[in-house]
Amino acid sequence: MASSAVFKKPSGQSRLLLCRSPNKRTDTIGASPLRTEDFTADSTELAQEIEKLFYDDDKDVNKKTSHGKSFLGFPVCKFYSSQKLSRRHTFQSLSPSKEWFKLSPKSKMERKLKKSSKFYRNRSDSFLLHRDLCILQSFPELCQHSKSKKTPSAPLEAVKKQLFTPDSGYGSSPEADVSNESLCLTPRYPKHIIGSYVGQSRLDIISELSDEVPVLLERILKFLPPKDLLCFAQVSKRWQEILNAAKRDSERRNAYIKRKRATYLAKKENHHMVRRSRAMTQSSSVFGEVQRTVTHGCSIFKDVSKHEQFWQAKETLRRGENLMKCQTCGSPARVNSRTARAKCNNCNSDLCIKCKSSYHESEPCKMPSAWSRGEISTPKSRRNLRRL
Amino acid sequence: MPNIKLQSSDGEVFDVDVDVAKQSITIKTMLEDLGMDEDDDEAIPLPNVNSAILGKVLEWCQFHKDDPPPPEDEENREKRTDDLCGFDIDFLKVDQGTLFELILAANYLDIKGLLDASCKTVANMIKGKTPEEIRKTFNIKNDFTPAEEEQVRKENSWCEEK
Repeated sequence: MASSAVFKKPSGQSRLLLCRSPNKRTDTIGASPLRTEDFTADSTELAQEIEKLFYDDDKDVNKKTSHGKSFLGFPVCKFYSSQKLSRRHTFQSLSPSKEWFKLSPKSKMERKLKKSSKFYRNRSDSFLLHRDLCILQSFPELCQHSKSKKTPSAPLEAVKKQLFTPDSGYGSSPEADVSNESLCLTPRYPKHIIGSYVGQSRLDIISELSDEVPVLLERILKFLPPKDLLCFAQVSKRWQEILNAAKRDSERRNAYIKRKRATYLAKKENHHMVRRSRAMTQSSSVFGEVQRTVTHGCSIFKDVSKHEQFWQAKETLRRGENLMKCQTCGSPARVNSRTARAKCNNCNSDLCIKCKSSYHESEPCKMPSAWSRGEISTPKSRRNLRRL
Repeated sequence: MPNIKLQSSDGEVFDVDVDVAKQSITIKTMLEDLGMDEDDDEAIPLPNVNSAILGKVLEWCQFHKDDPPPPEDEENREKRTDDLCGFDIDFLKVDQGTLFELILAANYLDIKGLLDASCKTVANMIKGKTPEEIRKTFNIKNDFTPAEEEQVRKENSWCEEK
């Protein structure tokens, strides 16, 4: 590790070098990692140098990696000097466990890959690329370390070339000397400079997003209630595909359809029942009792739409809130359990959750007197007794 | 207050307060990992964000610099979209191109607050509208054949009546 001094800034300040990992995850986002072929012969040598630093303890790995897919294509190389490290990094890389040394070179590689892919899972490719550039710019020594001194900053130039080819989406830059050679490079990086759509009054944001960063779509979809997801799927074929691809949200939509269908069928059945029983009761009054229960049942089913209302109200609840029935209109009222106070969604009336009458601040709840005390001699209780 | 410089893709340099820039997790980790000194003179290049959108993003960061860090994503996800603050509502009253770019920029720079606000705005544009209205809003062509449309309508017939 003697040559790690090369990477120190003259001031002795420590730096961290991160290279891109060639894991599949980043590939699917829209670009492939830089490969050795993209660089000149000098940078290949440079890459070997770097690998030697880290794998000189392990001859096998060295053999495997030194001839190819290296440097920017290599998992994660971290260069440390002793100062200014965050605790997390120190822990992960400077104190490997005892088992680590017992592992075979192959499994060591696998573990490193796994770790690095975890680290980069949520990073967009452009972020990684950007990082490479920053690193290279802040490590001029790294470039000078190359054995042949003719083209000292070969890797930096190579990255810049890639970054600033006209069709790579990064536009031309004053630094980029766009030669014929660089024009031949295929664009590997995001085609889109963030900000080039500014000023377009109408844009199919959803489809564009699914092209660029599909992960973000879920963020939008989660804000939509299932009813709107239904409409969402009916906009166009593209949108339908997008919704079907978002598993969680399409499940939400299907559950909603199922629920709706259930209530719809229940309603239909109930209609039949009422009609049939009416036809019977017309002929005789014996079924008076039945009719009463049926109409009573009917009133339950009138509540089915109420039930729906409650379902919908439930979806907008915040943490610590729940629902109760409003005494005046019967629609869902939002309960704030901390203040023991409820607000009706429909008629906007303010309720006390204990006595269910209108809110009375600090005064004690007024219960209906006979009801609460259950006095024996009141006319109401006598009437109840007679009925028994 | 120490300042840092951010350079957009078209070469414009923005001189901003570190605390403002650090709302972007991307910039924050970059500063920490690379150990860039706050008094460093070199500008941090942001090669795929242009100056128009970077200016917008920094305007948002400037306003929200004293906000507490946003809460972690919870499993019981917050579904409200009507809790945007007044500044955000006005800030996001922009053309759809800009809104889209703001989402991308917020994602790239990893600014959760801005990402959430802009996603909510898009959700609000869809909410409570019929498919036809949504098409009009985003200028989308209806590519369903009448037969397909009929089939979808049949499938959803239970949901339409109230």
